[in-house]
Formats: sequence, structure tokens, C-alpha cells
Amino acid sequence: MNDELSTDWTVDELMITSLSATLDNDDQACNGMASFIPVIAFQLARLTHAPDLVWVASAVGLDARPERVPASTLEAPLWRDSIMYLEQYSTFWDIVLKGSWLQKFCVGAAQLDRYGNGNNSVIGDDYHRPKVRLPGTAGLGDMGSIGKRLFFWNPNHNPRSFVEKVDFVSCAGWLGGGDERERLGLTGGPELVITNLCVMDFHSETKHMRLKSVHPGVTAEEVQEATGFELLIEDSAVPETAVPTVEQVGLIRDVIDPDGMRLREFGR
Amino acid sequence: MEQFGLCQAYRSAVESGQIVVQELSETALNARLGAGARSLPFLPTRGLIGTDLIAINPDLIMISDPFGGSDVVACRALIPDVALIHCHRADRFGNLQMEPTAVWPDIGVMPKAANKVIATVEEIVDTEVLRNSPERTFLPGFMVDAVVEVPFGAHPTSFNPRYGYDTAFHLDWIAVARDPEGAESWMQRYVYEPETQDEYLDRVGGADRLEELKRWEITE
Repeated sequence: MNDELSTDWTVDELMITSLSATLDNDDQACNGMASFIPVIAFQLARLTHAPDLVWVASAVGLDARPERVPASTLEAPLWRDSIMYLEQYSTFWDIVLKGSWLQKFCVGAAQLDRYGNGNNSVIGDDYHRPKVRLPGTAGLGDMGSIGKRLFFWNPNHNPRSFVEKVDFVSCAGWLGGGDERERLGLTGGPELVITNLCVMDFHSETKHMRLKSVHPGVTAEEVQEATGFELLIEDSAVPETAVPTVEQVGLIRDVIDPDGMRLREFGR
Repeated sequence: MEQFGLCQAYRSAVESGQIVVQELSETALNARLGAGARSLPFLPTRGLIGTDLIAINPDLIMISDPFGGSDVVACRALIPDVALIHCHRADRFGNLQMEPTAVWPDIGVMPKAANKVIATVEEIVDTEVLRNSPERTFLPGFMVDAVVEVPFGAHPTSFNPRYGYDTAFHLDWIAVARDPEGAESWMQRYVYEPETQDEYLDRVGGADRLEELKRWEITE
């Protein structure tokens, strides 16, 4: 094990290693569409600290071994060498809803508010005549309500994505904060938000989104400026996010994603 | 096909009210179709609780658990008029087979819920061929109203394991989709004018192009 820290890491790699660190050896994980950062984080975890982590590629291919990350995270090249194809209607959803398995989900949303409520449905006041029709809630609308632990990622931290109040709740976060989730009988919920600027979690009582660490070179003020609501900043000196190791960077660049598909999440 | 971005023509059609969509989470769609398949008035889900998607949808209603547990969302049965599906092969009686691949609810439950099932298939084969792999048959012929042999019927999307998606074709569509006139002439060329599937396949590049797609050589 080489613990030497990388000196030439880039922010995509930092987001991947931050997400990878949330995964444990006895976890099961799956990915949806346009999920390069989670897909690489799962594979990195398997190659380093969590060799037994089970990955269901595209929520289809059990323990897939893709040659390299392909251009789509929802197509067959990602399912190469799978042990099983999980049929969606019965097998996959039975496993997810039973509750004991697949407890952590990496999720993205076009808008996220201070309590981690997500919106992937519409922008605008009128749901039926939206200003912008977004892709739709799909599995996200379920994940917030069925006791799962949610890890959001967003490679473009800006005030249009991090808003005071989402235009439409298509993923239940901490709702209005406090114990509102609990009162509805919901367990699980948003835990972490990893962006290109920082890592955020939620205050244990108020459920207000809180700055946990800033990426090296980024200040708490810059994060606040890029956020459309007042972030909870408890420490005067916010810690820095741990940077990737030489080994992690090598695995990401040379073994898992040699074609740099992860950069597509950054519009490159 | 998410790597090609949001479909602009679909988006503007929804935004202008030209088409109406019903947005369901995956468990809610599965519950609606599952109820349709089993002749039940509804099936419940725990998904969507706490979201705004319940209040705007008359087919979703929060109900209490008659056995004393926590509330659930009743999802009204959905019975499609027609299920249009694409499969790997069928015999002349409509027994349908899928080769090993991802199976989404459009195949897994929708045909069981629908009033009519029309299947396009890559090939129609003799029933004896199906007997060699009965584990691949997923729908009996008596549930299928019509079978149409349409090779490359999933084009321009992929149909694993037979062929990959057509990158150039998708990029072409994206380039014209923002402009109604460009979209219209594109639709003329690929959708309205070709009278047969062969003619369509010729227009998308013919045999050479199809061979490339079969090799799944995809980088974009």
C-alpha cells in the first residue's frame, strides 16, 4: 500500500476519492445514467480498501468487470463479465426494497436545497407548463423515501444548483429540516454532498447543509458565494479535503478510466 | 443515450404543452403496471413519500396501512392500450424470446398489463429453435397479438447482445433537433419516406454500417 500523496491530482480525481472513502467492504452499490464519478469510485474502492464491495453496474450487471469506463454508464460495455443480469421489475427492485442490501446510493439532482431535497423534474412555478423540463425523477424519487443513505455528487457547484428552495421536490431529503422526515416515518436520508469545491454534510439536529471540508485552494467564502442559500459553517478554520494518493491517481488514470470519460461530467 | 444530452425536441414539446407526460418513480411505475397485470385496482409503494410528485398526480394517493403500519402510496392500475416491444426472436405463434441482457419493465411487466401486445423482433424462427432454449422465452404466444420481423428494429439505440447504438446517427439528430425545419426534413428522410425497414437501413448506412454496429465498436 502506497500512502504517498499525489501532487498532481485534479478535482475529478479528488471527487472520486472522496466518494470512494464513503464505501465499505461489505457494501453493495449500483449506478444509474451519466454516473462516471460513482462508477469510478466503486471500482477504485474495490481495487483498494474495499475489495469485496459488490457493484451492480447500471443496476443490471452483478460484479461487472468493464475493460475501461465506456462512454455511457447505462450500456452493455459496462456490464462486461457480469455474474448475473438483474431483471429490473422483479429482481433488482425486490433486492433494493427488501432493505438490508444496497443501502448507499450515489445520486445527482439538477437542484438541491439546504435540507438536501432534490429536483430532477421541472424548473419553474407551474409543474404542468415548466420553464425547463428536466429528465425526470426515475429512481431518485424512490431513493429518498425508502430508507437509503444518499450521497449526492455535483461537479459544477453553483447558485442555480444549490438553491434556497427547490422548484419541485422529486427526491425527499430532510424536507423542512429537523425531525420532519422522522415524523413522516422515513428513515435514511441525505448524508453527504461532494462537489468540485467542497464536501458538505447535514447538521444532526437541524439537518441544515453544513460545510465539512473545502478542497485545497478553495476558501469557505468561495463556497458560500457559489451556494444559493446560507451554508452552515461551524469552524472558523474549515478543514481541507484529503487529497488522493499516488496509487489512487494511478489507478484512476491508467487502469479504470484511461479514456478520461470522467471529464465529461465537467463538460470536457 | 444520456451521453448525447437531453432530447431537445421532447423537452420543448413538454414545455409548450404539446405533449403531456406522467412522471412516476420506478417503483410507482412498476406498481401501476403490476396492478394492471394482476387485475388489481392498485398496488402500494413506499417510494415517493415526502415528494411533490404525489399531490400533482391523480393516480397516486397516500393511504393508511389496514394492518396498522405506516402509510403507503396507492398507485392506480395502469392498463396500456397497446404495448409495443422489441425482442430478439419469436416463432409464428408469437412466443417471444430475449437473449441474455438487461430487462427493463417495458419487457418485464408492461406486456402483461397491456390490452394488446405488438412485438417487433430481430427474426422469426421455427418453434423448434425456441425449444432449444426455453429459459429465454418470456411471454407465451397467446398473450401476443402481432409479431413483425424488423431486423435492427432497435436502431439507433443498442440491442444487446446483437448490436450497439449508432453514435453518428444520434449526433446527427441532435444537430437538427433544435430547429423545427431541420427536424422536419430529418424526419422526412428517416421516418416518413422509407417504405420498408430495408429502405430505412439503406439510408442509415446500409450493410457496412450495420456490420460496424454489430461489432459494438463504440467510443462516443
